[in-house]
Amino acid sequence: MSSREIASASDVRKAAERLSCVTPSLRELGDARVVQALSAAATKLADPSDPLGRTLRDEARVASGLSPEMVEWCLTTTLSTVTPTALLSVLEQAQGKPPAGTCAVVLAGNVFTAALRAIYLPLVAGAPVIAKAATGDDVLAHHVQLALAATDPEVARSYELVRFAREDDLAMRALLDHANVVSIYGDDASVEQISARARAGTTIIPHGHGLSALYFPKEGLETESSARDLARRVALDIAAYDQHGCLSPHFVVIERGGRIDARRFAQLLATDALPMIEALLPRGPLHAHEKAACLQWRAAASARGELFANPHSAVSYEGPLSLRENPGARHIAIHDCANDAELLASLTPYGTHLKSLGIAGPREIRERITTLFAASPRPPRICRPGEMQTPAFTVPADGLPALHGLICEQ
Amino acid sequence: MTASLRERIAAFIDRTADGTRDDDARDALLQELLRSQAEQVMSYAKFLASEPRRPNGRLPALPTDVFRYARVSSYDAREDVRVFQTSGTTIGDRGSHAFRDLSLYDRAAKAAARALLFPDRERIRLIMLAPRATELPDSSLSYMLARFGEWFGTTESEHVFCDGQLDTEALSHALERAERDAEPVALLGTSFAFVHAEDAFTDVRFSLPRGSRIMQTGGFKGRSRSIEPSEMLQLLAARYGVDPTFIVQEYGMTELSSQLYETTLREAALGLPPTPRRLWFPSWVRAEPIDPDTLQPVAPGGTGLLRIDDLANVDSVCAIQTSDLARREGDGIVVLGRATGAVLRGCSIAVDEWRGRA
Repeated sequence: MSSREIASASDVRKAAERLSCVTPSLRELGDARVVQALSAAATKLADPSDPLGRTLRDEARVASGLSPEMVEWCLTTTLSTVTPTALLSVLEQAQGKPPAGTCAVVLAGNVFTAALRAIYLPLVAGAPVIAKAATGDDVLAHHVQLALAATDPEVARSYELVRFAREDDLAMRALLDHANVVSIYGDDASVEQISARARAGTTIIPHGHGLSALYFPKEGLETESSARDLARRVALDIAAYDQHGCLSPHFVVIERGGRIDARRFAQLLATDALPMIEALLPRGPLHAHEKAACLQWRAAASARGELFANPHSAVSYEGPLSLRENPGARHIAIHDCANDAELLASLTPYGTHLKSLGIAGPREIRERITTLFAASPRPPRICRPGEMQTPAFTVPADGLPALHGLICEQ
Repeated sequence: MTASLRERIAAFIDRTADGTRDDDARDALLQELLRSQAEQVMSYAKFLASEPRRPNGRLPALPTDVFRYARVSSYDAREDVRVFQTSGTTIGDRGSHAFRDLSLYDRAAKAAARALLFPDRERIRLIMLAPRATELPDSSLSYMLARFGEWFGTTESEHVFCDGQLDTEALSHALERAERDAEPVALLGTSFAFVHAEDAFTDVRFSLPRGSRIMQTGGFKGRSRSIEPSEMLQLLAARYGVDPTFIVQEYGMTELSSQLYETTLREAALGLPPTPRRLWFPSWVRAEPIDPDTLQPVAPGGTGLLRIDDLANVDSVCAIQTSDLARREGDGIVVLGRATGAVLRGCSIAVDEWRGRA
């Protein structure tokens, strides 16, 4: 079977069986060798002059629908996180514990670079990986396979990539039957369906639906110039991946009583920051359904508050917290609130779906907000504006440590 | 809006109820009405202030989501006689469409149904697969069906829906009675109700008397499995023994006062030459797919977002922008389905949906 054909259940089973017979295993090859191979492969893919780096970019533009500039930004910021230091730091988190076994990874297609971390984390933990590519987007998963094969064929043998439709029960069963750990990306319903089909005793690592937000306590917006700077960082968070991912902010909440109010910030974001980011990282073309959603959202924004619109982005000021659906595609609502407690109350319903929260202001404020979410079983990642879409390779994801589920805990 | 404009619109509907087209007069009335609404409907005025585009010199249509977040009305809420609400396909706020006078709604609904659904019969036994208006007073569909009962139904007409559920036993009895009496019936209901009936009846088939008809409306709204329109047509024809030409889709929206119907029943019932299946819009309605980038009508054959201008929407806004994809087909349109954002958003689910789950 050539590497990009649709796999039958039998193909998937054979791929899984190949993985189980690989010698030497990643553990036998040694951590240093695996780390070296993974970082070298990432470096190769990051290089636009490398033939693989070139085809990766060409294919990613088509599959993701993002602009060439945005694709380049996404690849650069993602691949640059995979340094030997970062990989070793993840290994340290394992504290010498062995991998939990073969990891099946079910990939989703909304953020094309997400495949990297999904595939790399089990490998660095020493677990062989069989990944099911997302329907319509196998680009990065495929290029990782090629880059690993080019840098270290022995390490590459511990990674198999298969393609089949999610509805193919037999193929899915073949994938799940051979896995000790299943890491599932996608919508909540898919995660639930696939989890239900896994063998008893399989460790499930769910990466379901998610969204992110920004919060500016009044100390975080001191002056017009700091607000302008903040707006530019927020614009990057909004623009990245054209707001497709779960790390993309859907709304900004601003505490009342600061020097710059929410309406003024909305204006700065719309008139200055978003046009500036559009010039650097243009938005990709939209599908009809996305255009329809943007039309509806903009009109509702005008009814609920005030709309500041650009051709390829829009910001609304919608007053007190009353959150609503967001179409993505660089559209964001700004709300105001009385204090941290009101923010917490409005975000609590999102539970573990809240993935990331950008906080303006000094470190102490982020620490204060981190404490607010301390009781959550899977708290959001708290970060600075401008860094929401570029988490380090080592940080927790979905509120869980990087190697959660991938290593034997006992 | 002046009383005289309302009267002129009523007269126009009456004059064109038989299908006569007078698009110039319609467009002039629409322009006059929309301009007055731009001054009198605050939510529309706010929308216009943020939407500078004027396609072909026309005012842009108001997107349906505004009905979820703001009152879209030219008069005070104290004058409301009826407020229809959207069914809430997502868990967020439901859209509301208020009326202080339902006479134009009735006039439009009656004329369109007479022309497209009941062109061959004064009255027919109606079997309604939808809640009664008394059970669901904020449903425009239930209201319309109640009026159909008065205008077109025989005394044996009935609802086969109880406590929010399709009563399949009652439906089965009604169908058997129609077979026994050899009396044609009209089955009127939502798409998901027909799917529930499909699932309940399994191997049971009916052979309804010639002249029986089916009107199916709306999407599935997550209340049943979804079925492609062409497959649904085949299923209904096979299940009830009704000629496919006598099975039509109705396209209605809470935000509108008029309905669109497929053309096949009218052609077959009146012996007209058959033409491709499409939605016919009444003479007092303009329906056109528009380019969402420019808001201009798309070129013939092109696909766009459906804009509907409805003269019967006198007290709200007569130009409504839907999220449905459509293309022109002759003098009608074909709706290709809702342009939803769920497909590409991946893990980034609608905020409303989470809010509802929490």
